[in-house]
Amino acid sequence: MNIELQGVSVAFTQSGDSTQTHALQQIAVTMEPGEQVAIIGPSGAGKTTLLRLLATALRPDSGELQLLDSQPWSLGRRALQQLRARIALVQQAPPLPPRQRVVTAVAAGRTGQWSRLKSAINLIYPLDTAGIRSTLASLDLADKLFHRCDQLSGGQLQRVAIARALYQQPQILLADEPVSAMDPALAEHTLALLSRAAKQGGASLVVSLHNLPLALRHFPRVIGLREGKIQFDKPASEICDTELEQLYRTARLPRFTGQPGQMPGPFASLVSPRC
Amino acid sequence: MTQSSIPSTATQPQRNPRDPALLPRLMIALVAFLLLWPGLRLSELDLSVLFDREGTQAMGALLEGAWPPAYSPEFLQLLWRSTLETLAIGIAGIALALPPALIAALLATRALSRSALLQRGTPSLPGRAVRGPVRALLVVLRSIPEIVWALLFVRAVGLGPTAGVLAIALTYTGMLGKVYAEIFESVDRRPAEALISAGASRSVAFLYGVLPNAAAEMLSYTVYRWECALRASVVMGFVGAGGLGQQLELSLRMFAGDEVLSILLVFLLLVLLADQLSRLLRERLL
Repeated sequence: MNIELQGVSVAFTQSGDSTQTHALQQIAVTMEPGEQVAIIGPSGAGKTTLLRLLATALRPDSGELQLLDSQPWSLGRRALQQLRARIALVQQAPPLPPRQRVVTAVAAGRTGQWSRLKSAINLIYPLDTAGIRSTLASLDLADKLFHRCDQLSGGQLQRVAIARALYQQPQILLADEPVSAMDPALAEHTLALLSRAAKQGGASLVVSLHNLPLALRHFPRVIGLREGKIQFDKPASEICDTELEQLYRTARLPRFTGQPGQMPGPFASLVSPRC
Repeated sequence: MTQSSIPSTATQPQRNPRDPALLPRLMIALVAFLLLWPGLRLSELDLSVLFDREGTQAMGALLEGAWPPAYSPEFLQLLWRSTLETLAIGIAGIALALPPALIAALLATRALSRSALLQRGTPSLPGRAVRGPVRALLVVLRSIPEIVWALLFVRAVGLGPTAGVLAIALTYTGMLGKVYAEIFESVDRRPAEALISAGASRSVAFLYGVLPNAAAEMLSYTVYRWECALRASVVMGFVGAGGLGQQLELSLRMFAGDEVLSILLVFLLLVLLADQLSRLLRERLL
């Protein structure tokens, strides 16, 4: 079992008042090695929190979390660091220093496996230009190898972040909205690449997506998250319209009050009514 | 209340919440004013002296004696030597200050606190126990003016540039260390956090995540400090620590206004040079 969560909750104390809001409540998920899962849900549902939890960037307040057969938060510092080197997270807004060159930004993915000395030397002279170049080439970015990150567009930055995660060669590959700044064709290509790379490396892949058609098309298993709770967790082929409506139904926003027939229902063309 | 398309919930009053930052901002403005007023009174600032008849006459006389600037070959040769000496004092002082300042900044900064990085919380007690004394040391180093250090070192190692170099090295360790530490804390910390959660060690996370963001600001501050060191070395020359300052003091003592003007002109050139160097470095390297 690569990922195992039992009764995991995360609470945030809001500044100003002492009330705690639950970002995640009683989450229970298990994933096998090599499994590929999409997380969908409305904004603020806790998708990013769940991914940060799986990346050991966030400590759960309660519940049990097991990653790659070890409990990260009971490990020693060194062992935790080694575990972290086997997990990669692609963040929604890639935190890449604007002045860093792409070749360095991608190489940073493997600094968890390199010695400090090797990492320091690599900062002055890139040691594995060939490997980084081929990783970038799979994302159609080979010509940007020696460009600076602030010379790239949002979609290119996202691809650099993905290249870094792939270069890390992780056993758990997590991605938070990895294609949100890409055009449809590139998004398709990139998701297919993530899925292929995860398969080749035998890694589990967990991706949060706003784009429902992409999620349902590329991922065999889909988890619906709403207000910090798992709404459903089933194969993509078994999800029906009413479940999606339920997942995204909003209480706070006003209903669209235009002329009837102007806007088709948001989920009309996604899945055929099966249930 | 204007008509709104968003139905408000019945429990909340129909009022916009007040900006929570308003009160603190007003308070800060008030405190700034309260501090400024006694400051003006205590320093006995009276701008009317500038337009006083006696004052303008004295200044006029000084300027008259200063023109044209001194340019005899012997004096220019002397000036050249002292200029080189001043440059050397500034460069050697900053160079000596850099390594200890970097080490102190790494020890003092909260940006690399393991607990703050990983849990987004407050730094741990042992971490603060190390950081506190280092910060205190930096405060001590920079709270003593370089001219005082220079006086001490002139006693210890004798007249000459060495005293100036040591004085600058000490004071500027304090200044650079403090500012570097704050630059590390002010840059975006998400890159370093991302690297830590990908298994990198803290030192590597610093090299790949903090340094690229901090380098430009560090560089420009260091060059600015070098410029300050040039100026400081002139002041220290007055107490015998070598360079242009020592020459300036001699000329002033001999009421040689033309020599004073020449020295000041050289000085202006040096500051301009530092300015251009800073611009060039920032454009080319970063």
